[in-house]
Amino acid sequence: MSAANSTAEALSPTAKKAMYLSHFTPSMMQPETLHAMLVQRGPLLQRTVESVVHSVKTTAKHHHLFVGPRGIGKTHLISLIHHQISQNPAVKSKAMIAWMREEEWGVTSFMELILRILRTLDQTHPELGIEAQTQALYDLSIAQAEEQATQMLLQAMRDKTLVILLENLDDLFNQLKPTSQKQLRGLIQNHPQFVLVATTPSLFTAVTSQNSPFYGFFDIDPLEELNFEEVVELLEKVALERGDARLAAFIQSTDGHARIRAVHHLAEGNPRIYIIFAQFLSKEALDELVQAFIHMLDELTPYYQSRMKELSGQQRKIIEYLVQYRGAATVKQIAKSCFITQQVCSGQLKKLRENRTARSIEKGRESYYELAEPLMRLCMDVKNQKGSSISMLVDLLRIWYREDELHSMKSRLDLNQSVELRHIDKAIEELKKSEDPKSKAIIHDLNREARKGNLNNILDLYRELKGVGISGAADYVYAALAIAAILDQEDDVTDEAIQDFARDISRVLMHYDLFFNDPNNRMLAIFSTSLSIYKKFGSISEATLRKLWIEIEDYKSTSPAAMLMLFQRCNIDDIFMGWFETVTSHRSMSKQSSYIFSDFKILLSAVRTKNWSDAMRLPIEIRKLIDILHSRNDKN
Amino acid sequence: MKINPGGTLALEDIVGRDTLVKDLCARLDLQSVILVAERRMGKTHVLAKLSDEAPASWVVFRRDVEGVRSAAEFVQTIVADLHPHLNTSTQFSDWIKARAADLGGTKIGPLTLPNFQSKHWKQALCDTFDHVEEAKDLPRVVFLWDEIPWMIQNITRADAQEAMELLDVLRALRQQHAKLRMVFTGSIGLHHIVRQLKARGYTNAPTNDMAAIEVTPLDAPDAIRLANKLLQDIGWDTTGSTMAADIAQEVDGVPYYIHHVLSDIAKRPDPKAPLTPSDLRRLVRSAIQSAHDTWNLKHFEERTQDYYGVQREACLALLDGIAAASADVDVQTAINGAKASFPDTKQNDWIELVRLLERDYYLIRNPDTGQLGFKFSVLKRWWRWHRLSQPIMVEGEAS
Repeated sequence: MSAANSTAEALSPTAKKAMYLSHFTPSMMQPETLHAMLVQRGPLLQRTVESVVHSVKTTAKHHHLFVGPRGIGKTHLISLIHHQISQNPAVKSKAMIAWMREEEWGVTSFMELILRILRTLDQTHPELGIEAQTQALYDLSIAQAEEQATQMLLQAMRDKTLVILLENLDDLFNQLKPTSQKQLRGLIQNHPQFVLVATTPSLFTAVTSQNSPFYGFFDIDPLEELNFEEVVELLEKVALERGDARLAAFIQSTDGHARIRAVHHLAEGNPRIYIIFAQFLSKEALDELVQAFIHMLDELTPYYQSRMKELSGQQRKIIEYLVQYRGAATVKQIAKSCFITQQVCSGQLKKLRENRTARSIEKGRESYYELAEPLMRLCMDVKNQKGSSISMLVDLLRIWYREDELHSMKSRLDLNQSVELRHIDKAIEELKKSEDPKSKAIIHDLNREARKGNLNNILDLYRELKGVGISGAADYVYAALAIAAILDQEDDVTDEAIQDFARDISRVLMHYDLFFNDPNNRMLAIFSTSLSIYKKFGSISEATLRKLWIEIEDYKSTSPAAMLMLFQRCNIDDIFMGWFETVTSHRSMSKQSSYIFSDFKILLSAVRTKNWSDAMRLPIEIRKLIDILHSRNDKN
Repeated sequence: MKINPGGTLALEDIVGRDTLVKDLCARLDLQSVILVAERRMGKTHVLAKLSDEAPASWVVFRRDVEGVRSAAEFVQTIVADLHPHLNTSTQFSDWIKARAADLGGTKIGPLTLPNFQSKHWKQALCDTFDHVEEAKDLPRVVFLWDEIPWMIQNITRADAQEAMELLDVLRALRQQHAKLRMVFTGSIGLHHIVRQLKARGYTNAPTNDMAAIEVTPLDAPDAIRLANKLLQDIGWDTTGSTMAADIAQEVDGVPYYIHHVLSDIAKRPDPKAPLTPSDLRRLVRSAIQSAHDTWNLKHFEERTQDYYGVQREACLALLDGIAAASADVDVQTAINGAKASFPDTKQNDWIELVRLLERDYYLIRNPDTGQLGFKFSVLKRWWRWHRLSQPIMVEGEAS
C-alpha cells in the first residue's frame, strides 16, 4: 500500500469525499454526477451513442477509438456511453454490452481475449452460465480451445450485437501478437455482430501502421483539452455538485475568472487536474488537496515511467529537457541542449508528436515544441525533486490565494502537517519574489485575443486585469499591457514591433466602434504605447519616433488633447519626463507641431523646478493640471 | 444512412457498386478473379454486395481468412462452409466422420471438424472438392476470400513451403473443377507476398489463370449521391446545393474520404452551419496536413519500405519530383529528375519502378498523352505538404 493510500484511510468523511472526487474514478461514479460534470464532450457523446444504437439496429457497424492523454476524460466519456446505451430500448433488446475496464490487460493471445470477454459477459449475464462452460476449455489443445471459446461467444450472442467497450486498447494490442490481432479482426469481419468502442492514451502501431489489420478500422476522435471557458464551466459544475452555490458564483466572477485563467495556464486543459484543483477552491480543503495531489502522482508515476521506457534514448533526452524547461522550445534550442543535430532533433520530435508525447505550436515561421501532457511534466518534476515541494502545487497556492490568506491558513495548520506547511511557505516565498501569475496569464491571453480581434474576450480580459488590481482606470492601459505581454514573451522584440502591435489593437477597437472610436483615444493609445516602450528600453528607436510623428501629424487636432489626458493619468516622474523630452525634441517634428507641445514643456519645466509662475500663463485646461499634479505631490 | 468512415456498411448503404458487381458476376461465370484496389477503397463491401446479389443458382461463401494460420486450418474453414450444403451427401458425411475419427476433431455445433494434420490437408482439400463436383445441386460454387494475402503471409511465417503448396493446390483445383470459382482480395497486394515467396525459391505463377478486376473510386454521379445522402444524414438541405459535388471532386470520389469529410463536417460545433467551397477546401486541407493522420494517408509513404526495399529511396525521389510538378510530366522527364539523385540506377530499373508505382496506385498515366501524375489528388497534396513542405493553397488565399 502506498503512503498516500494509508494517509487516505485516516481522512475525515469530507476529506474522503474530496479524495473520492480527486481519484475521479468515473466508472465507479453515479451517471448523474458524471453527466453533471460533463463539458465540451456533449456532442461527441451524443454522436457516439447514436452511432452505437445505429450499429445495433442495422447491419452497419461503427467502431470508435478515442485518443487522449491521461486525465483527459476518456473513462468519463466511456462511462457515460455505457450508461446511455444500456438505457436504450433497442440496445436492451438487441445487444449485449461487455465493458472491459482493464487498467492493464495481461492478455497475450486471441484465446485469452475471448475468455476475458466471456468472463465479462458472465458478470452481467449470469443466466448464460458462461463461467461453468469455460471450465471445459482447459482440457483442450490451444487451437481447439480457441475454436470452442469463439463458438461459445457466438452462441451466447445468438443474433445479438455485442458492444465491447475497451479501455487502454494500446496496452491490449501491444501485447497481442499480430496473428492474434488478425484473428480478432477476422472474427469481427466474419461475424458482423461486433461493435468496438475503445480508448487509448496515444495512437499505436497496430492502428497506425498499414501492415496492421486494424489500420483504418476505427473512426478516431482525439479528445481535445478544455479551453478556458470550458474549464470555468467544469469548475462551476464541480462546485454545484458539491452543493456550494457561493463558490459557483465566485467562479463566474471577474476575480474568479482571473484566478482560473492562471490555473489554466498551469494545467493546460487537462480535466483531471481541474477536478483535483476544484477541491481546493475553498480554503478549508487545503489538506485534502495536498493529499489528493500526492495520491494522483502516486497513481500516475509508474505509467509515465513506462512511457519513458518505450522511448528511444534521444527521445528521452528531449522529453527530459522539455520537463526541465517548463515551456515551449524551438528545435534549435532543444537540439543544442541535447547535443544532437537539428535534423536528428526534428526527426525525433516528429515521432514524439505522432505518438502524442509532444505537441507543436506554430508561431510565425517557427515551430515550438512542448510536452503534450501536463501530468507527465508534473510526475517527472516530482521524481526529479524528491523530498522538496511540488512546484505545480506551490503555483496553485500562490495563484489562488493572497499572501495574507496563505498566512492565515498556515496559522490554522498543525505542526505535524509538515507537507502542507512546506508548500505554503514556498508559495509565500514565491509570491514575494516573482511576478503575479494571474496578471501574466491575463496578459498572455489578452495578447492572443487582440491578435485575433476578438473584442468580447478583450473586454473580459480587461475587466479581469482591473479586477486583479494592476491597471489604472484609464482606457489606454490595456493596450499598453497587451504590449507588455509581447515584452514578457519575446526577448528579441523590437520597439517597432510593439508599436505596430499597438496600432493593430487600436484598429480592432476602432473597428468595433468602442473605446477608440474617438481619435483622442486613438492618439492616447499611441502615446501610451510609446511611453511603455520608453519604460522598457530606456529609449525609443529612430524609426519608431518617425512613425510616431507621422501619427501626430495625421492627428494634429487631437494630439494635444490626448497628451493632456496622458498627463492627467500618468505619474509625472523622471521616466515620463525623459520620454516627453525624447519625443518632443525629435527632428521629424514640424515647426507647427512644435507649438502643439510647447505648453506641456512649460508645464513639465514647472514640475521639475517647482516654480509654478511660468505655468500660470498656460491655457486654462493645462493650468487645471497644476492642481492635479500638486495634489499628487501632496499624497506622495 | 450514417457517416461511417472505416466501419461496416449495411448492404443498402453501399453506393455505386452495382455495375462493378454485375461485371464481377459476368466474369465469374467464366473464371476466378483477383479483386484489386488501394486500401480503404471498399473491396470488402463489394464482396458483401456480390455475395448478396450473385445469381440464385450460385452458392457463395464469403470469409475473412486473415486469422487463419495454417493450410490445415484453411481446409477446416472450407469444410465448415461447405458442410451445410453437402450434408445430404452420405458419402461426404461418412468421409468427415472417418477423418474426424482418424485425426481427432474440433466440435462446432453439431459438427465435429477433423483436425487435418500437415500431411493430410492437401488430400483433404482435393477430396472435399471431389464431393462438391459430385453434388448435382451445386452448379456453381464461389469462394470469396478476403485478406487472403495475410493468410498466406501467416502460413509463410510458419512454413513457407506450405504456403507455396497451398497456392499451387488452389490453382490446380480451379483447373480441375469447372464449377469452382474463387475471388481473392486483401489489404495488401498478393503480388507482394508472391514476390517474397519467389525470394525463397518459388517459381510458379499461382494466379495467372485469374482475371484482375479493380475496385476504382466512385464515378462522379455516385460519389455525389453518397455525399448527398451523408449530408442529409446530418440535417443538410441539399436541394440546389453543389456541396456534394464539391466534396466528391475534392477527394477524388473515394468513398472512405467522403465519409471522413462528412465526419469532419459533422464534428463541427454546428454541423448544419453552411460551408463555402473554400471552407470545404480548408477542411480537407486541414485533414491532409494533420500530424495525426486521421485520414490514414501516411501509409502511402511508410509502405514503400516493404514494397520497394532497396529501391525505396529511388522510388521516393521519383514521387517527390512528380509531386513537386504543378502538372503531369513525361515519364522520361520524371525519371531524369530522380536520376540526378540516383545516377547509378539503370534505365530499365526506373521503368520497372514506374510500372510498380502505377500498379500500387501511386501514379497513373494519362491514356492520351502518356504523361505521369498522381492517381489521387489527395495523395499528391499530402505528399507536397508532408514530404516537400509545400503549402496547399486554397483559392482566395495569398500565395
